[in-house]
Amino acid sequence: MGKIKLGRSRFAAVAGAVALVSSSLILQTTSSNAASGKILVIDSEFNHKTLDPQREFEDGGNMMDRAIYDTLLTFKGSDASRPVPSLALSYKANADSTVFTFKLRKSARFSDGTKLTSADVVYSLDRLKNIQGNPSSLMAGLTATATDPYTVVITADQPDTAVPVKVAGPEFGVVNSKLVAAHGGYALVGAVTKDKAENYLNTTSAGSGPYMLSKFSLTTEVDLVVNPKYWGPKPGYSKIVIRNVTQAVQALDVQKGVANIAIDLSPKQVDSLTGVNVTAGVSTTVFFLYSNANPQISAVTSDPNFQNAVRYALDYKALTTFAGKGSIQAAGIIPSAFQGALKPADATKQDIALAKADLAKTAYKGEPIGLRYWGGGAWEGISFDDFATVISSQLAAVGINLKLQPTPVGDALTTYRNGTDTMGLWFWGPDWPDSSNYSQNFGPGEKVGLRAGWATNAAVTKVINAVAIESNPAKRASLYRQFQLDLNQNSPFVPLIQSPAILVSTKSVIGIASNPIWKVNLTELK
Amino acid sequence: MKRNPDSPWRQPLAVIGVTILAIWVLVAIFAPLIAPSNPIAQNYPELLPPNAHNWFGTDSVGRDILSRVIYGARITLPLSIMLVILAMIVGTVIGAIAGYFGGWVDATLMRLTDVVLAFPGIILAMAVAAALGAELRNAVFAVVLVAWPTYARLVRGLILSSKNADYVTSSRLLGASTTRALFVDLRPNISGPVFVLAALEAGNGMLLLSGLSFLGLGARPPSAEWGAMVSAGANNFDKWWIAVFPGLAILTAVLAFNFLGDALRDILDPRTAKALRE
Repeated sequence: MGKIKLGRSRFAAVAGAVALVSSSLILQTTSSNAASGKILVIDSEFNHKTLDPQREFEDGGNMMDRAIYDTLLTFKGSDASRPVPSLALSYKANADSTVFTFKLRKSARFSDGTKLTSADVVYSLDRLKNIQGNPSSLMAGLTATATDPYTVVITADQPDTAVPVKVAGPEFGVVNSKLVAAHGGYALVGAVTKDKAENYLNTTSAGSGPYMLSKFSLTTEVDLVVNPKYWGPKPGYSKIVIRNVTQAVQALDVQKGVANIAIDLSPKQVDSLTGVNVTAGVSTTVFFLYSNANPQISAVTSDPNFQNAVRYALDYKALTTFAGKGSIQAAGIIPSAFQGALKPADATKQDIALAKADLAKTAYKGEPIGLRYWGGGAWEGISFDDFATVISSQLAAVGINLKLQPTPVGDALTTYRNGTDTMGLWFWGPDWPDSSNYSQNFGPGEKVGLRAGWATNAAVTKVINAVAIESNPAKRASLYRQFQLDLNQNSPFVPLIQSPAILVSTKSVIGIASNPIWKVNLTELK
Repeated sequence: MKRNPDSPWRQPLAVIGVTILAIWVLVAIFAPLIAPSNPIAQNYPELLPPNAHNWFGTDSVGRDILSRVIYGARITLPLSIMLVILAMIVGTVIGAIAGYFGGWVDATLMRLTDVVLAFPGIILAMAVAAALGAELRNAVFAVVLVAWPTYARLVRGLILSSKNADYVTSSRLLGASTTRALFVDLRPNISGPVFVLAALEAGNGMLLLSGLSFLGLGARPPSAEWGAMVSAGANNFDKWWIAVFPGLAILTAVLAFNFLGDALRDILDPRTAKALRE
């Protein structure tokens, strides 16, 4: 073993040297800056599409915008369910969760020195609602008004207990309304065509957070510098450099100290690193498998007996072993951190005999069934090619013959969204950190339900409708559990695993926590 | 062989090339007998470094890499040979038609050849493979599409230089058809160089095919294709054994094809053969 280890580290050293030489320019800037102790370098696989807070909807954009813009409420550390004060010092909800009143702090200022008032909050929330960007659905049914310069009221058409967690999302980041309006911003109805502020917000930030945007790119590097006029305590770094780096190189960088934090490493990649801090959490990403319930797509996969055969054939323990340390079986489609999540005991268990019996009830004769997935893709360290390979060998054991269809992500998303794939392997990360995100998407006739060809199921729809108007937390939790138990027995979906969320950092980084919404809160780092 | 019975085969490189290729062909034929494990069964712990049991280690889902490299010979070798034969046939036919008939036929076909040659091979092959869908069959087709112009150019040149030779003219005067002129009179003179080119191109074809699989445009998982295996290693490049062994397999096979091509050229090309004799 000693010899093998030597060989491996020597190989890593050689590979590292190659990477260092090839990126010597970056290395020079980072290492000279690292000496001052004020610069933080982060390696991440970029997935942000914009940094306009009312348009961004990816966790990469969340991470950056969380540091630039403040929200009414926020989350601390790894938590994503108990909002704490930020711009709002306190809030009150009425009994049926339709009116939320937020009291703003008076000390908050934007980076240009102007005071942040309720008008800026209302402008930002109106803009979120009206520009019809990816996250606009978060404001559906909600209306923001200002009753005085430091009071904001959010009214919901229907009871919506998720409002406090929704407003903690970076999509609700408060922009400097005068500045944004002066640069093409428009917040009222019609903003879908009239708002032209996205480019401005991708070059200059207009927030009140501890950092400001100083360099923007979708493909190479995003830089943040400290906001000298920040109203709160001074953040830990004077500059944060976020670079777009592939997983394998992230491992080398953080090992060598070229980067301070690696965001996207898998448990297996982390195993071979030494002298670094590893912060593990369970992510809220749920990987799931579906068998299309639409008989026009496949007579086989639409048979509930086939769907059950798939469900019981899978070896969930082996799947979590595959996904690595820190991953858990997804007991239901709602991740473990949220209200109404199923307990591990409720999770589907492997039962080969049952799977074979269910399969025998179908007309299936061993013909290959296509399983579509993101070929060459990896999410939170889990390779889709490998995951699909493991699943296919498990299903082969009961006689289900999968034809793997790795497909470039754009094409795969198209057929997935069109609902034309016989089977699919995908994941779902919450749009907002609340169980309602799942009942509103995974039900029959809902967005993801239709992708899996699942059009109707009266019993499940009844539960979804009941939970939508229920404001009592205990009753909501019970309804969410019912919804998921139904899904686990009587739907095309098979929840598989929740992936581990791992942050690897050098010893110099203090205060790091893995958060499901923004991965890491840059403002908490010292 | 007849022309020059012994000297080329005394070249050590030629012998090495043929030996390596013969070994790979045997490995491919007898894969089920040699391989210690099923190439797609996930029988072992993941990411084991090479050890007494798994000589080449295991990959990220616990498959024995030695077995996968052995079975990979069954995919990569026959496909490389097949695509070379296809490209050779297509290129030779087009080149022969262009060269023999000349005029607008020649101009049209050669401009088409120029268009294909103007693209970097891997880019055109990627575009074709991506458009047709990621499957090994389509990747082979894409490589053939990229590879044929080299043959067409060569064959056209050979035909041009010999179609007006006295023996062809006299054959035509005796009433021989175009087909006969092409296949009986001219073919022997062009087959030698074409075979040399084919042997040299086999290595390129294999590289291109592996390259497409590496990019995810060729073999589908879980099939054990060498290029795809190297690609899996790129995701874990601190685990050197995942990519190195299939990479060595590609290296040795391509090298062998090149050595063989060199040897064939020495035998079939009258000038080098003469030089060797003297």
